Amino acid sequence: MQDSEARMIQKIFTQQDQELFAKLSGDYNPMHLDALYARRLMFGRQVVHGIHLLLWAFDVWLQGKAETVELCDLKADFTATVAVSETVECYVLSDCCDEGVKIRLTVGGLRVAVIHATYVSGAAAVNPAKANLLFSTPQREECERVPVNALGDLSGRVALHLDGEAVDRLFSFIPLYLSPVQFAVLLATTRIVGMKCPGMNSVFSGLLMKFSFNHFTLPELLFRVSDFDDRFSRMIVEVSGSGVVGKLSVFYRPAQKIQSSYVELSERVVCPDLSGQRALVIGGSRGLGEVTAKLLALGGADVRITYHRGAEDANRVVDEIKSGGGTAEAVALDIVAPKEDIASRIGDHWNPTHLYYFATPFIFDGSRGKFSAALFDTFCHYYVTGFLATFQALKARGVAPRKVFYPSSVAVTEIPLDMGEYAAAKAAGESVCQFLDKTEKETDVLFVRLPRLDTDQTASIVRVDNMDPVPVMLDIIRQLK
Amino acid sequence: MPLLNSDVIIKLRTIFREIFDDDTMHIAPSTMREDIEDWDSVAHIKLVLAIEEEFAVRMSTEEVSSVKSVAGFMKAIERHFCDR
Repeated sequence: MQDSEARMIQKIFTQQDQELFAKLSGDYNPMHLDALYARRLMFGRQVVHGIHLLLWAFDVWLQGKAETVELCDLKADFTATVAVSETVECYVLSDCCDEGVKIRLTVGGLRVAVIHATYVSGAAAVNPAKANLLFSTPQREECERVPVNALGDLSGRVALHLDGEAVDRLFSFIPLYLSPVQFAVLLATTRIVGMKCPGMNSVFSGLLMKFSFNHFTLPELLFRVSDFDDRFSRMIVEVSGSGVVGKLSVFYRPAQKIQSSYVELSERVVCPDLSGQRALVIGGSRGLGEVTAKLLALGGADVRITYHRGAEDANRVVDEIKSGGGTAEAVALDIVAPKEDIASRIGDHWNPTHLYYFATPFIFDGSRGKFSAALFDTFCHYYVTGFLATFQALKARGVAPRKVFYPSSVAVTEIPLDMGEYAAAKAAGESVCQFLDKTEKETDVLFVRLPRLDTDQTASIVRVDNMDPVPVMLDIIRQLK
Repeated sequence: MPLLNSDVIIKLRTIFREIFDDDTMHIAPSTMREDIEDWDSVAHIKLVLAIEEEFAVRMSTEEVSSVKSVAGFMKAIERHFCDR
């Protein structure tokens, strides 16, 4: 059956949905709940729980049922993440007793999950464990941070919970038609992965479950890591109990990238003398901006960094620099806000001699082989108009920066298939740099096509050789001295 | 016993169809990553894992990153069979 022939239902997952599902399942991983934290992870945004997608798909499917169902086999692949506030489409592609049900979820045409389940109808199995389910939400716990070298021995068990009130607020048909024990088992899998095994650094990528009608009395799910493939940081978590055996496929995602501290840099590098330089670092709370700010301060520059949402990160950078004897301030600035007064934000009497411009959204947001005009527009707000507006706002105060650095990218040359919009916007930014360099006689503008450097933005579950940003940025600072 | 290319491509086709959720997908040795829209890094890992399981081989990290086509997978499978 083609997608166009299948029944399609849409949903937008909201922050409230995220919080309700976390309460219901006990999976409070901040990747799902904390927008500020999640922006620094490999997806660059807060994402919907995979099991929430699966259960919503079941809710759509069960809408057409008149009898209860017991699952027999279940296979789910979560092929891409779904961000909060994105519109997800659910297609029930086929559904018959012999072959089961097949459901596909997409976002803007991109496949994000495929679910295939076989089942029996009308079984309404009198499951002896049902009476022993804990009809409450799991107690909120701290997310475990299991290191890679401890994964091999990892095992444990979780109790099965099913809180009726929370269920009713999220689902309409699952409570009527799906086996409560199986429902609770599925909820427990996300708690195992997101909170315990491995917890914080998890990406739930799929599951394979076989349900049985064996009698059991203890409503719990046992888990243990049965395999870890260090080529891909991918683990298999075997689960068993409560009438199910299965395998959960999980990636161990990279943690937030911690850049070298000010003290470490002071021991590692010899900075040129930058005294007299007043450096404005746009987007200096993390990544390349953070590294640049610290190197500039080490050389004796008077540094002001701007941040959009990461006040905590920005204050940490400033505190580090000040503790080490450098000079720095942090100011909030939204570079794409139409009426943002850049000049007054950075201080009326503080005129930067140098501008380093690192403002950026999440860069890996494109789809392979597709060019999104909307995404290109977003990138242009940061890399073209935002950059130009910043320079013009500074110039309007009467003193334009003498030197400007603009970080372009090798993507302009290589044009990766999922980064067409990014490459095009950076290329446009380069043109703006060349234009300014020709028209602004008092200002030198340098742009460099940077290689893939080690930051939050370039973190990946696939091993990639990212370069150390310190020598790269140090070289640029020397060029701009 | 050496593998026949025709057997390999049939098995690879089954794997590709499963991974890309497309029962009508056609692949040939000349099929490149660029030809399949959804062949991103995560799909690539899933392909590698499924192929390794099917053919009982294990590819090195370098091999995994160097494969950019169906022919690349076929060569990797053949290489591991010859090494046995």
